[in-house]
Amino acid sequence: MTDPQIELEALARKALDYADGSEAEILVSASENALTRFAENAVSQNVSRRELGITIRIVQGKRSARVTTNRMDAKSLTEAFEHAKSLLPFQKESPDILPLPEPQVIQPNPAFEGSTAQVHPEVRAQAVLQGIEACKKVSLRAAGVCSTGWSAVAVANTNGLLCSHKDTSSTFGISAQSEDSSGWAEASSRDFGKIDIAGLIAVAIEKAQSSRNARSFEPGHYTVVLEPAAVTDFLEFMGWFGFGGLGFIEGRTFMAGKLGQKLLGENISIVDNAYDLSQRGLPFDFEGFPRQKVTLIENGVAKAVVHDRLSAQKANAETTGHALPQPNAEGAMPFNLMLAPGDSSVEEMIASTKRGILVTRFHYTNVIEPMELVLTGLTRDGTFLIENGKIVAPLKNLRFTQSILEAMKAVEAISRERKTMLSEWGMGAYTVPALKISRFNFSSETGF
Amino acid sequence: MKTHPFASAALAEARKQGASYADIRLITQEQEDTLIRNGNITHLDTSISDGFGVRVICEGAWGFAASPLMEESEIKRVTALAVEIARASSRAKEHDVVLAPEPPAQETWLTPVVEDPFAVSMKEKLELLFAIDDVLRESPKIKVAETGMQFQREHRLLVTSEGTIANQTLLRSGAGYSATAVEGNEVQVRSYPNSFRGQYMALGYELVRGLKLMDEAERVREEAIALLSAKSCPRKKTTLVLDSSQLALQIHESVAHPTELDRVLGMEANFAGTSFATLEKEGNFRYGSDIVNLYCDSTIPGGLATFGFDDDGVRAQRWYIVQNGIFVGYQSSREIAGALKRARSTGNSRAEDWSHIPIIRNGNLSLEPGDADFDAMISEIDDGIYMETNKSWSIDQKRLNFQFTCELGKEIRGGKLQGLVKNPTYQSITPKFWGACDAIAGPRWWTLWGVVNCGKGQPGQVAAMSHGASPARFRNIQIGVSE
Repeated sequence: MTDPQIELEALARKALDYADGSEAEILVSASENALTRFAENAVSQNVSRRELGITIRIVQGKRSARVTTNRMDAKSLTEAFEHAKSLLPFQKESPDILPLPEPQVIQPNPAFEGSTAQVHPEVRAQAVLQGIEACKKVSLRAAGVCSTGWSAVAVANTNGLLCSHKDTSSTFGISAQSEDSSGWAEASSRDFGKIDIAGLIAVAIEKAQSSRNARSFEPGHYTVVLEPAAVTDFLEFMGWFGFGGLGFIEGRTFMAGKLGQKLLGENISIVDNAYDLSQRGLPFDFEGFPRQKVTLIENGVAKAVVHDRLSAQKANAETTGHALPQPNAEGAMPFNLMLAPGDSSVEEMIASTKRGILVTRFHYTNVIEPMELVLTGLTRDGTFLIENGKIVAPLKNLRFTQSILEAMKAVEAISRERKTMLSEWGMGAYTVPALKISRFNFSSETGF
Repeated sequence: MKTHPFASAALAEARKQGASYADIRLITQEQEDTLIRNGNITHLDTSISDGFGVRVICEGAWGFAASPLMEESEIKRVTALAVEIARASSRAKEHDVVLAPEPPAQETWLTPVVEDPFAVSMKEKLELLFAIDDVLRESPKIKVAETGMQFQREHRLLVTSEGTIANQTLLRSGAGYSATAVEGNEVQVRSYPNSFRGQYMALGYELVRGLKLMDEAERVREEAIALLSAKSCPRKKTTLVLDSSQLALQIHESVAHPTELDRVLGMEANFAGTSFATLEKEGNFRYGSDIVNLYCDSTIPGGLATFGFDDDGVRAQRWYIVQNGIFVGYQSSREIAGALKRARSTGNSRAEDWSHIPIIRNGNLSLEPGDADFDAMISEIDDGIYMETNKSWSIDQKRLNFQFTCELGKEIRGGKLQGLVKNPTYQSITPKFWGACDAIAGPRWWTLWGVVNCGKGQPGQVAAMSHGASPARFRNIQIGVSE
């Protein structure tokens, strides 16, 4: 593709030509991503894929139907429209189907680094070799990932709405492993050149070396210092189970009925901001509305949730530009969550801790109870005992079971430095500091 | 057997570029997804996706590239890119990739289907879904009712440079619903036949008709409401009985994933994790009690991982993972089996679609039924708990420490099922847990459950598989572990 944005806009316009008088909405997406995986000191998988897809939605009053295809020829597009139309007549009317919106003003939000869009496999191999060689030198085994690529999306409808965006993303992550320990570090950026690969490798190696001969530790309530990757899990679940407009209206999230109330500690502020340079930067949502910066929690007080047009209508609010493709069962979702920084550092947090646990990251976190946001998960890749202001021993991994709302009331310190972690399965990113929390529940041991 | 002209072009190009092995998968996936939420159609989606993926071994290393553009020039570009990537891979290799032997096959295989779900009218499907939705929402305490169906048909053509041509049509159907009750600060959900959108099998519309969806809607609604005022799960060690659907997920997380050989060899160390079930344990490690027998079966009717051939071209097989409580077998691909000099792959290499590289995925791994009567199993318990339908799952990266929460619990006292328990949670360590199994219900209670949301790999891939189980009893298990 020459310029993905221009090509997708042309595809969207071309597709609308087949609407033949119907009200129609088009979502076109394209991407090209390459990823080199390594394990046991060798490249284990090395892939590249190009994708292109179009979703056509026909709206007829209170009825709608969607057809998705990656066949872009005239015959296939004609068939797609005809199939969508064929699904309309026998539907019951759905009160939640809204008319297609009028064109909106979207401010461009450049997030595309040409050098990251097309990275030669040799360049990724070189980065991977750097990690492997460093680990080999100290008798560790390296595993990890190096990915680069671009994606683009366009939204258009028969009312004349048309907006598009392209971005790049890249990630380098490495796990260094010994027989009885592991250490991990990862960073993502829209500019592959800005990732400090040597720094990440050094962190992973240092954690693997210092977490050898880990000891068992009695589960219980402890002060914790959570590095940013661990805090990411909290923000991810707060996004899914708290900050969306639909769950808010239905009374099934921790924000429901609590706007204006103090839910978290005074030092906690959370925004959704697609325009921060750390984020992926999609400036509109899937209805074509401008994505707004939304303050969700300010100084611990619940301020707002994100909306699409439907939940906004039901909540007597305005859309914040956070719609998923319409209609859907999830409602509006925040994709660019950022937890406000503080004035501390991980080193200062450790130095101020009499007895506590330092956590590098969590594994397989999941929700047990949504209203108090009780989560469970396990520590991974470097868990350490802190005593009298110093790291004194590596610990075997522990399971936590903890209300995150309660934990966020007990934050004693927040780091100045923040890191951005891409969502594992979605299109989101989380910009998070490290946190020191005074009382955190570890509920069981793993034995390793 | 007839191949595809693009397949011949890709294999020729790969050979020309210096590949010692090449395969191409040409795949078309069709899906239909319908979801009714609170009286509104939120999904009425159909999709179709074509594309191909070329995988090569060149200079002893893998390369893979994929594209949706089914054009001759693109086939050449993608194949050349796969070779270029393989050459880059070879700069960081420890050993040459050696594939375990598999005789080439040229066959066609189709999922046996009685009633094509794509031929059933949307009108009929919507009428059923709306009727269920009406029943679920009869109480104002039900704030969310979701009722849906999903169908998927895949045409997969695998052509390899070794001479395999596997032409397969795989079909699956799924249906189910859930009711979420809300009151004050309490949220409770009940689902039927299973959570996460129901039951899925490699069957046609006969699956939907057989589930008798309407018959259970009232019970599901009332159970969701009753859970709002149910007592909390006590915190203690006690006897636990799991229903077959929760046991299916238990098998998935604590048996299926740890016995994937790529995890065991460290290939997933950076992401999904490794495994406690290390190589020296094969054939001698006590995984469970004597009555625990777990087997993998890619030939079982209705299984979501039932096929003629995997994406390495390995023919479907059936084998034991745990026999009489002893760990005896792994799940493998040709690459990993070759690295360990095993005679043959078990045929677990699968990719989500044309755009992903095949990786080791769980097969249809099931617990053999026991000989217990379910009621007798309960009647032998003075004090315990019964749990049903998964709500939440979490397990460590070696697959030892797990903690699951179910939708519904029932106290067991004096040999009888008693009152409801909300948010029932249990936690244990994998071999300790399976070692505590002292009764498994018989074949009458055995069900093959579909899992369609299994994530693995980087870039992330989703795969589907099935796990069969009868309800089973476990002694001295920690329950009620949440704060």
